[in-house]
Order: sequence, then C-alpha cells, then structure tokens
Amino acid sequence: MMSTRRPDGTIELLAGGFLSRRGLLRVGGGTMAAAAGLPLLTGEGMAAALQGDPQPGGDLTFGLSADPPNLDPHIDSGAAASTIKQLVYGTMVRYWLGGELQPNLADSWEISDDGLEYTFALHPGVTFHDGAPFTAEDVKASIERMQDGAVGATLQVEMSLIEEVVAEDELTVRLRLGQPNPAMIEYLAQPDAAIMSKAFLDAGTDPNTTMVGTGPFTFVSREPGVRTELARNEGYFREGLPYLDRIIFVPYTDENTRVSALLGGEIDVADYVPWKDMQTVEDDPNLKLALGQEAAFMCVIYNVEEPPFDNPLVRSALSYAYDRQAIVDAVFFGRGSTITGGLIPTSSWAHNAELDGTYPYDPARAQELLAEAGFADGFSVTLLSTSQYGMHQSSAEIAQQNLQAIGIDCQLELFDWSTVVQRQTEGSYQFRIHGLSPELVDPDFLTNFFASGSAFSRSSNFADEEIDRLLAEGRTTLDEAARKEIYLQLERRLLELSPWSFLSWREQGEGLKEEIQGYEHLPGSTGFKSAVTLEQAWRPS
Amino acid sequence: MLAYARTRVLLTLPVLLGVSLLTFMILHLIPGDPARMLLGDMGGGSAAGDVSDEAYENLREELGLNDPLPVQYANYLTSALQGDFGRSFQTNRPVRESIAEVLPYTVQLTVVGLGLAVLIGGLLGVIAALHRNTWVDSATMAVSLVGLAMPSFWLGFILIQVFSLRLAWLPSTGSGDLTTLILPAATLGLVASGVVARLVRSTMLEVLRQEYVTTARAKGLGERIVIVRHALRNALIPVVTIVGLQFGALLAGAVIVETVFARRGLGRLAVESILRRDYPMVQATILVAAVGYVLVNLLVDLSYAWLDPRIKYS
Repeated sequence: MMSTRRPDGTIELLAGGFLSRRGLLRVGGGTMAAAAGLPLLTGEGMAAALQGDPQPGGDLTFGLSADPPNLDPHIDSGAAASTIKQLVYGTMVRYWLGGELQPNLADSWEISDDGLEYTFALHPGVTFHDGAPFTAEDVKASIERMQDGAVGATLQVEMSLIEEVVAEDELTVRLRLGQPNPAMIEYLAQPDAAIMSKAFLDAGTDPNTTMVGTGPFTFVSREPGVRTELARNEGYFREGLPYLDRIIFVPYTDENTRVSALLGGEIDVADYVPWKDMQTVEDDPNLKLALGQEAAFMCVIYNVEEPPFDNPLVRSALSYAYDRQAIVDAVFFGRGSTITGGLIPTSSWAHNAELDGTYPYDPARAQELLAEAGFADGFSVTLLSTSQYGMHQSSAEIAQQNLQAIGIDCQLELFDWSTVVQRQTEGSYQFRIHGLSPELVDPDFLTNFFASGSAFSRSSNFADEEIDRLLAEGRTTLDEAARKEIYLQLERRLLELSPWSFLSWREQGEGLKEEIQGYEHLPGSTGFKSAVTLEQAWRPS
Repeated sequence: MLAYARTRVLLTLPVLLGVSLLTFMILHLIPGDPARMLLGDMGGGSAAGDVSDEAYENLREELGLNDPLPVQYANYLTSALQGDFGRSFQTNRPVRESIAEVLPYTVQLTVVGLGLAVLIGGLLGVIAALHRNTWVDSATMAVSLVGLAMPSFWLGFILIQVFSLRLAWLPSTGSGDLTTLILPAATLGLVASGVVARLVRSTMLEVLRQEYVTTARAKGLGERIVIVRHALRNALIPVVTIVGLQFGALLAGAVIVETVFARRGLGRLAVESILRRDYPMVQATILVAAVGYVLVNLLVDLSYAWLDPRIKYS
C-alpha cells in the first residue's frame, strides 16, 4: 500500500505506509524508533492536516535569512539556500512530519543482509521539469557527480562510500557500499543529495544559473539579492499537489528587518525567527510560530594540542564551569535546554539518559579539578568566537564570565565568520564556541564530529582510538540494542575526554501568518528541512 | 576652466589606482578564504559535509587564488582597465551586471537622502540663525545634535516601528516603488541634516554680519529678499563643500540603511561580498563607490566658479 501518490502525505503515514518494508526496518530501524519516540502528528500537526479542505491557488512570500549564493543542489550553502533547492529538486527518500524517512523518488528499497547492497525501486512516471522522464540513469549520473572531486559536492566523502551504482533497468537502481553504514539512507535524504537529470548534466548547462528537478515547484526566475520565484509543477508526481501557485523567496539578511516584514504583513513566512522575537510572534493574533526542539546545539571545542587544553582533566573541569541554564535563558530566551550529558538528543532511541547530569553547573568542582590538574591559580586563555552571529557572541560572553569566576583569565577574540572559519581550519586558536546541528537522526552523526580525520577533529587535533573503534562498531552493528550499548560507551568516553563541552540545545522556528495551513516544522535536527512541507501548504482564498 | 577640469580628472586616476591597490591589499591581508566560504562553511550547520582537499585545491586554482599576489593584482588591473571586473566568486555572474543592477537604487537613495538633508538642514540652519540666542535657536540646534548623534540603524528601526508597524502607512522593506524609498531616504537624510543645519547656521550668522547685508537693509529691501537673495546665496558656498564631503558619509550610511530596510543597493552588495570574501565583487563595489565620491567632489569644485564669480581657476 505504497500510495505515495495520495495528495495528503500525513494520512498515508498514519496508515503505516512503508513501515513494513524489510530494508528500512532492518537498517533504518533506529530512524523509525526515533520517529516513534517523537510526538508524531499530535496536537497542532494533526489539526492542521485535517483542518478543512485544502484550497489550491494563491501565492506565498517567504522571507529568507540569506540569499542563496548558488543554485547547484549538490553544494550546500546553508539552510536558506537549501529551502529553495528542496522544493525544486527531489531526493530518493526524504524526511517527513515526524522526522522519519519517507519514500520519495524511490518507492521502496531493500538492503542486503550484510548491509552492503541497496536496491531501490524508483517511482514510475516521474518527469523532470523539462519533461524528460526520470530513470535509474539519472540516479547514477547524480551520485557519480557528487563523487567527482572537481564538483566540490558537500556529500562527496559520504557518497564516495558507494563503490558502484548500477542501473539494473529503467526503474531499478542498485548501490554497492564498501562497508555497511546505517546512515547511508539518511545521506540520500539530505537536500544536498538531490537527483539531477542526466540529460541536463550532459548538456553542460550551468546548474548555478537554472534548476531542473522533479520537485513540487519549478524554477521561474531569480534576481540575486532580491527574489527567487518558483511556480507550481503541474506535472508533480504526487497528484493534486502542490496547492500554491507560486512561492516568492525574498532575502532578509537582517533578522530585525525580517521580523518587521513579518509583523507588518509584507511576507507570509519568515525563517530563523530570532529567539528574542518568538514571544512577539506567538502573541500576535495574525501570526503563529512553527517550532521544533533540539534543532541545533551550542558547544565549546578545544584545540587539544594547545596547553592547557592538552590535559583532559582541564577540559573536564571547564565542563563543570559553564552555566548552561544562563545560556539557555539569556541567549535563547528560555527556548532551549541544557546538555549536561551526551549529545545524542532525547528524542533518539539511542539517547543515553543515564549520562544526563554528568556535567552540572558546579564551579567548586571545576576549581577542584583544576587544582588536581596543577592549575590551582588558573591560567590565561583566549576564546575564539564570531561577532557576526549574536548567539555565538552572547554564548561566548557568558562562558568568559563563567571562567573568570573560577579564576581563569579568559580573553575573547571576536571576528567575522569568514575569519573564524579560517582560524579554525588552520587550528590557530585555543578554544572556540560553535553552533551546530547533528543533521542526521541516526547517532552515527557523531562520526562527522569526532572520528579522527573528520573536519572537526582535524581542526581541533582530536583523535582517539577508542572513539574511532566505537564509531566504526556502531556503524557496522545492525542490532539496535547492541548499537545502543555501543553509543553509551562512546558517549561516556567522550564526556571523560571532553574534547568538546556541550552547552545547550536550541529551538528553531519559522513565523507564519495564522491563515497558512499545512506547513509543519519537522522535529529535531530535521527541522532545517521543514521546507518540504510547503508542498502541502495552502491558504484560504 | 576646461584646463582645470582636465587636470582634476587626470588627478583622479592615481586616486582610483590607489583605492584599487589598497582594497586589494586589505582583502588579501585580512584572514578568510573565499574557497572555504564557497564549499559549505563548516558551521552553517553542515555536519554531513566534509569537503575533500582535492575539491578545495581545485577551487582555489580555478579562482586563481594560488597565483602570487602581484600576478593576481596585475590580472585584475588589466581586465579592470578594459572594463571587465571578472565574475563573482559566489554567483559566477559577471560583477559588472550585478553592480549595474543595484547601482540605480543606491544613486536614488543617496540623491534623495542628500536632497532631504540639504532641505531640512538648510531650513533648520536658517531658522536658527535668524533667531539667534533665542529658544528657537537652542531647540533647532538640539534637534540637529540629535540627528548628528543618532546612529542610522537605530533611527531606521524607530521609523519602521512607527510608520510601518504602528501606523501601517509605509512598507518597512523592499526596493520597488517610491513608497519603499521614503523611509530609507528619510533615515539617511535626517542623520545627515544635522551637519548641514549647524553649518548653515554658522555661515548665515557670519554673512548676516557682513556690510553688504547692512547695505541691503539700508537700501530698504525687504527682509525676505535680504535673507534669500543676499545672505543665503553667499552662505551656500561652504554648504556645497560639505555636501560633497557628506556624499561620502551618505554612501557609508547607505551600507547600513540598505541592510536595515532590506533594500537593494551597492552598500548591501559590498557588505555581503565582504562577509563571503567575494574578492572581485568587493573590489568592484568599492571602486565604483570611490569613482562616485571623486566625481561628486569634482563637480563641487567646479561649481564654486558658478556660485561665486570671483573664483577663478588657473
């Protein structure tokens, strides 16, 4: 009963849909459990989905926090850019309302018992916006493009885990991996893993100037810095969708300006509502907030080769020193939660509740540990952060005060973001504040942060054999209970070594006009992919 | 006069060359890497993206960032002299196109802003001078002081709050019809009017003390004619000078005002390009702004002769 063509995706999900698919149950089991642990379609989500009959037609103006610098779907240039790309391009699978995976261009998939072979049955009758039929050759061409070093695809490393792509027939694709990877299916759900048309790629058109995808909306025009216009794809494979005639994206890089435009009714939706303005949006009778928990987190990353942070005891001591609640309250206006244990979010099946409370706010304990490490009189350090993003700077200022309170002389270095990126890539800093999102629902997201050789580990000189071993084991183990045990050990080890201090989760939200129906904020870190739900958004005429 | 103009135009060339060299050097001296900004920036939230060194090196080569700096500057200069400012690192569109698109908006904004500044500032200045040492004088000068001290982003938000959100008379953002021009131009003009008001007041006071004004009054001319025809015209010469200089301040103000009102323009383009280290775009936007500034001040110098026939260029 894979009725993906039904216009109302929510109903189909409630009926179970692809839950019985063998492959997903086995390897994607974690994902499904994660989804089940979330408030799947409760309250407002359900109400919106079932409220009245959707009315087709109408335009929507969407205020974006950034103007997409490029249109190439394989090159990530931030959440704002991917909002547009997600609507024009399609991926094999996608995240849907509960944060779970939903079939998209692939109707179903099977994964071999050794976890190495993925066979996808593609959705028949899908066409690209230029009328070309979607076939297995397009999948092959897209994956091979992402693997090509010259393209600079964001998922190049991940896609290179695929050793072979075989187009078995028009509508069947088989992927062969070098080693099992439970996150593979999620990589294919990332907006950066968009399927492009082989004919389009072969024609040599610059994918930066136009977009030809399979998504619910087609690319109409773009004036850089001013607007990007999309129109309804009349040939969208989910019949009856989308409802809106047009979506006009207008960049509002200044957050206050974006909120003003929303409050003044000039735009229908605004992304990245600043935390300070969330209450105002909620209180406005004409507006509502689409909100998600645990979307992204703030952390401190230590350069573990720089004294005194080469001593794990010092890093551990500092983990007690940060007043995490103060950060949640002052930086995020209470719209977040502290992280006193591991990083795997509470909504995940792999969350390690027993680790919560490992690092409470305990300045006395911090001083004790510092004394034990031989720094009873403190030391002088410099904290790197950016003045370009308010939440980074404010978090850094609170951390600075916290450290000064336990006798550490902490100086702040505030630069623009570009400078910070360079400094961290070169490793020329002592410690830094960072805001990140796990991106993946599967706990394997930890590999991107902590595996030796990952960009984050290289830039902080962190490498630990035990961590690498556990990460690899977590990847290759298919049994969920066994995996949970592995991730418990892993996070325990992480907290012990404290290469990072985890500070707090933050909420993420879009503000929209009360009358707009059907738009949903996806839970957790999938919240940054909420734009997919614009395909079922509508407004009363 | 013509000879003078020719010399002045020729003199702008070294100025512009200097600007281009300085911009180039500053851009390459400050940290930040355009290639990194292009390849997903490790913290725009992308944990899944871990760009390979190969892709990074390819991109640097393609952007010409691996050439020695003098070579890069020479390349830039040769193309720029032929009117080719290269392509934006970020959008891969010709820089010239992007600038041509936004320039009219900034010209519109600064010209209207400047007009408002002269109008409001001139009016306040004359009123203050005529009511010297009364409460009217103090009040107008206090207002001009507020204008001088007020940051334009703050004034912009106040205007948005009042006229867009409370009264809902004008749109808070955008760059379309005239209604979207009013608030940004008012912000720019009000802030700049403070300087103009104070200058007009002091030069007016000076002029009013001159003997020819006393003569004009003694002739029995009406006070209005004395003020407008005799005093104001002469008081305007220093004002024209300050207007030329203020044009630079207005261009700088446009950077902020365009951001606050989400308005298209050269200033916003420059800021966004700087943050993304889009070298060709930054170089071109700053050069265009410099050309504008130099041109306006050239016109100011030439206009002295027209305003004051006693001035001769040699």
